Amino acid sequence: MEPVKFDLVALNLNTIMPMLITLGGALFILIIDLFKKLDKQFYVTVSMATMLLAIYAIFQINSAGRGFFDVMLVDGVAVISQLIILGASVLFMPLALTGFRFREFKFAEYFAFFLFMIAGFQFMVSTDNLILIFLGLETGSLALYALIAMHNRQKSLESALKYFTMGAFAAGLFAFGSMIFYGITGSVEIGQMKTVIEGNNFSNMPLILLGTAFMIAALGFKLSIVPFHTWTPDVYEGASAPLAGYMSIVPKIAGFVVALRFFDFLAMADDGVVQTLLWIAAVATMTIGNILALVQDGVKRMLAYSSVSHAGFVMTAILMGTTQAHVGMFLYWTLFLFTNLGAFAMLWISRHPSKQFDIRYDHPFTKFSGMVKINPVAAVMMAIFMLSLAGIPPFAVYWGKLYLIGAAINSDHLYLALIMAINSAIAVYYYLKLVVFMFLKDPSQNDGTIYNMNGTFPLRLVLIVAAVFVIASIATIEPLSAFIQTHVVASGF
Amino acid sequence: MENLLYTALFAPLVGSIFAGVLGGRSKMMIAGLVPSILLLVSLAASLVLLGHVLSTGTAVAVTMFDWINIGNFNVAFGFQVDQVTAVMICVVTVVSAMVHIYSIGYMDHDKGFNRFFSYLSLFVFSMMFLVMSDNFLGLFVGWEGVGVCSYLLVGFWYHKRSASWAANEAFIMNRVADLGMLLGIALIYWQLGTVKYDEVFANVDKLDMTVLLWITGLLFVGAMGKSAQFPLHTWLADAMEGPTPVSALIHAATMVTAGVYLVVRANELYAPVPEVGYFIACLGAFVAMFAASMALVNRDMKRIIAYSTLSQLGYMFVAAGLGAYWVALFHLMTHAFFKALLFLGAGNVMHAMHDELDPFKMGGLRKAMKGTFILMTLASVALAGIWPLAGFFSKDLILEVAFVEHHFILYTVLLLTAGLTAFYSFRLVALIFHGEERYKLFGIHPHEAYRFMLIAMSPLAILAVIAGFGFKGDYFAMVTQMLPATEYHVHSPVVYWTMVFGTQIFVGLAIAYAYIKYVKVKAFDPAIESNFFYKLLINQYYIPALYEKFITVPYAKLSRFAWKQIDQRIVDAIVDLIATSIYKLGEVSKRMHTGNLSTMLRLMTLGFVIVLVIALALQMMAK
Amino acid sequence: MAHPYFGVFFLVVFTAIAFIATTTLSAFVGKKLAARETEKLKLSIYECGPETSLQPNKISAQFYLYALLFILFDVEIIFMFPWAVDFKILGMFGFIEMVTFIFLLAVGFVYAWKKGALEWHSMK
Repeated sequence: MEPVKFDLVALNLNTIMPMLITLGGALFILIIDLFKKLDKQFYVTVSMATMLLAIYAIFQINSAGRGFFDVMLVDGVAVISQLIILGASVLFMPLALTGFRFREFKFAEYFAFFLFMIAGFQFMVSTDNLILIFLGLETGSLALYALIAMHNRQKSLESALKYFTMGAFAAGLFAFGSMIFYGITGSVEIGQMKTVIEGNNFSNMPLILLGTAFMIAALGFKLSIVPFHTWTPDVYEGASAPLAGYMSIVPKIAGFVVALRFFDFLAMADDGVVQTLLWIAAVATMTIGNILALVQDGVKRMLAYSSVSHAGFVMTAILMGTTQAHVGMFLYWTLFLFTNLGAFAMLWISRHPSKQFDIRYDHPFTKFSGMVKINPVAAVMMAIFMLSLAGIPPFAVYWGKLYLIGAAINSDHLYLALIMAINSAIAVYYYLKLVVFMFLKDPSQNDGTIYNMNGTFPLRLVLIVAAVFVIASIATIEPLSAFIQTHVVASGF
Repeated sequence: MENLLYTALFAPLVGSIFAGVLGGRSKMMIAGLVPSILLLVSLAASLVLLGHVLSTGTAVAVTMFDWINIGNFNVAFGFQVDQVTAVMICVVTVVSAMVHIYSIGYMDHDKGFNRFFSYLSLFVFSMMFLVMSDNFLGLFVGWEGVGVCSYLLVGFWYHKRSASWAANEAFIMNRVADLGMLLGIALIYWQLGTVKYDEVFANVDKLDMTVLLWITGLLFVGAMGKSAQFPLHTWLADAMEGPTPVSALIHAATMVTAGVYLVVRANELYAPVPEVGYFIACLGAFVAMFAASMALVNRDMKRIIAYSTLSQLGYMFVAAGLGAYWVALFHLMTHAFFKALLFLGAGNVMHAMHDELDPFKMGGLRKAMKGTFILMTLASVALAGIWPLAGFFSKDLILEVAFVEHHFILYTVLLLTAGLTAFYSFRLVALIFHGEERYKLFGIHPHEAYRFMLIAMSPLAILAVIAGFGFKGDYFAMVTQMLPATEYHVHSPVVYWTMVFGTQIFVGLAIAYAYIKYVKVKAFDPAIESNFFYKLLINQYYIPALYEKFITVPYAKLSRFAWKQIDQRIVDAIVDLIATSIYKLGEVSKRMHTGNLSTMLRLMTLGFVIVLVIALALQMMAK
Repeated sequence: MAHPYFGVFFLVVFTAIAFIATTTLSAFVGKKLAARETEKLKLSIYECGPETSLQPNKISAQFYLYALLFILFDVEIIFMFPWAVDFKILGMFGFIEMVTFIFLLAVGFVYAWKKGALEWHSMK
């Protein structure tokens, strides 16, 4: 046999560079910790530097395409989603620099896990090979389970275990789904699956549907699609606020990208079965998420259900399958990222190691009663984030909603657009509930500083960044959507 | 030239913003000075623009930027200064600059000093926007802008119940009329696909007669509201609740004449439908008489002047309705000068008398307030139309127009009204400045206003004197470049001179009668109160009472019914029902989330099964 | 058939009813038939093989960690075997890859070692 020719150019190492950088950063943190004990400021700095370097590496990829034996697929979608993942991580990372001491930040492993998780999700979005997707998914998820558990409270351990068990189950479903598709098409690459399935004109429909059902269940778990969403409130409640906020953004965008790659061609089939399935799933998700959010007493649980609803909202983009919808999906998620970052950071800044307000919740609604009278700045900030989440103009998420509903109308999904609009209206209720608590009720105590005892300069900076973005989103919306548009179109979605 | 146009337009806005920023603070002199200086700048720019238009005869036009671009509907923010606009902007800036300077003294002790100048400058900006716009939509924006500013300024002393009531009345009545105007503009756009003046006027002949009738009628409804023509006239007298400089600027010189401006501006629309014009003229004549009659007996100095404004607006509409647009515009200009002067003089008197408005409680003020006395007398003479002051040239012209056009009834009405005008004007002068010093009974020590306030009034006085014989020739030459240049000559010299002298003598007699009757008045004679005509007139022909009884009260009842019965019982109940049912649904589905891991896993499996079943079922359907 | 979607509707209703019926039934039956004295067994230590009660000595948790690490490093050898067989064909590239792989393993090994995972009862 001939020796294998080794060609560095064909390998296209650029495509894998961002992940290598994050992995390298993680390993560096692990090793340095073995030899010298350092404080969290150092780890945060290293992690941030690593992530910024990775972002830089992404911008160095000038030729979109495949690499590393054609396993990697770095197209426009991969670039945008990696940017969202890394950008979100950069913004969430400083939240570790809290005023109070929390146990998890004492461990270097926390930061290493964080970087491993990012690398996992990066792999997940920049390939169409089901095996690598699986690998990335599990790398990210396993790190995430550990991160949640490290918060080290009864609830955190419980939620981490729940998440883990259900995640394992979902992983099994994913493996089954992949197996069936491999059986049908003889390939593990989504691109080739598409060619084969479209080539024989969807002849194996029952089998395809079986595989699709597995896939919907598996990805639905990651995206918290009803009825695979049951972990969301418990896990959000157990995790620390920044991690919960992070979870509502990053794993989901990774999941959305995989779902986009996987369901895009299936949903566009002539008989429309998969499209109808996704329709039902999306509608159920946004409606049930909304309805459940209505009756929550804890702000974090409310935000958890609301993020379920948002996921359902964005899910519609995949079933519409138009370019406008796909652009809307990334746009929505970017705007949602900043808003949720702000909302969860507000919870985090008001966090106290002891539960002062409620036996069960860290952040019951009553905690924020009359906040405007004792800490007006924080109350106004929180209100802005809530209004943005509720989709009230001119704040960030409004534009996302507008874009997606517009896409629904343009692709003739009129009922869907109507349902989306109605759900947006329902959502206003529970977001404004918090605003009502903050602005119209009487405070339960006199000391306004309680709401930012956990705050430090980095936390406030993150909050300011989020608030500025949310308020000024009207100015960023044009260039942002143009940027996303070019990348999405370039990758053929 | 374009920069000058922008300067003239935006300088007041800058002033308004400047004063507005300081709005919350206590009185600062700079908040009055800066807007005034900026207005002088605007005035200078306007004068240069006027000079340009006068010398070259070409209009200055700019397009600032695209404003509305929806589908086929394109409107740009465009401005133009042509002959009519040049006259208007000069009138507006002259009067407002003087009023601004005057107000620095007048509002001296007011808490809302900064706020006042912010509103006042904003008004000037809106008014300039109104007259400079080159399309109907921009005109409408300015139209609404002056409405808002009028509302803000009438209700300037909002803590006074009557002031806020008057502000609301003015605003609501104008809104009713504006609906008509908006419909008119919509109709224009619907028929011609454009709202730009040039394009609309160029295509008038394409319009159907009925449509044109509707358009002109609806536009005139808007003009009726803004210029307080019957039956939408009641707000103007009530608007006197605002500070006096406001009355001078807005409710005498500028805003209320916007209706006349609209008709003049849209003259090419009105020209093909003389029926509408005739109606406008008749209504104008009626209002002239009607308002003058109410001014005869009123005991409120400012209201008397307000009715006189109403009456003069009637004159303008007669001229405009009969197609003598340049005459209407000319009277608009002269009237702005002497009426603003009259109001500002009234402001001085009010200050001197500690906000007393009843002229029966004044008398003999000419000794204490010499300057004001001279200025107000001058204004009254001009208003009465005595040669050689401005009023003579414009008002007599209107009478001639009516005569030459063979509308003798209109002519008679206007002639009588001229007598009435002279009578009530000098009734006021006699009561305030002559006779006994009745105010001494009330322990008031009147004092003259600040010198600079009088100086600010003097340009207006000069204009009130010379605007007639000084400007008429040039004005006619310039304006008729775009308005119909009909000259109104009475052919027989005998008839002409009889008319002129007859009118002058008639007016002079009216003045003399008023003077004789009121100069010796000692106090108000209550005996007259039982007189039927007096009661009719002092109650404004019972029109406000009728409005109250047949419109306001039933409307309030209807609103209350809609609120209590329809909104609360039906709409609210349905909305609440939806809300509670969704909430209940939430409570029910909450049970799904026990937090039990086994349940969760089961749910996941169930979900998978459901997805599969639905998928297969759909597949079977599809086949 | 009345309506083309009648079948779907029927199936949805049918599944829903069937699900509710089976779950309630099983819960009911379970409650009736279940042995109630299971608490003790449920809470006892589970270990495959011999019954726990007969176990003379307890096994430390450290043992599992040890075993886990052993398997981890042991199983990695599997990847080296095919490489060693095809060393010539894979050439330089294969060599670099394997060195990277071993390096990563070594990092893991050093990490475990430093953390004290290899020392009995002395985890840091």
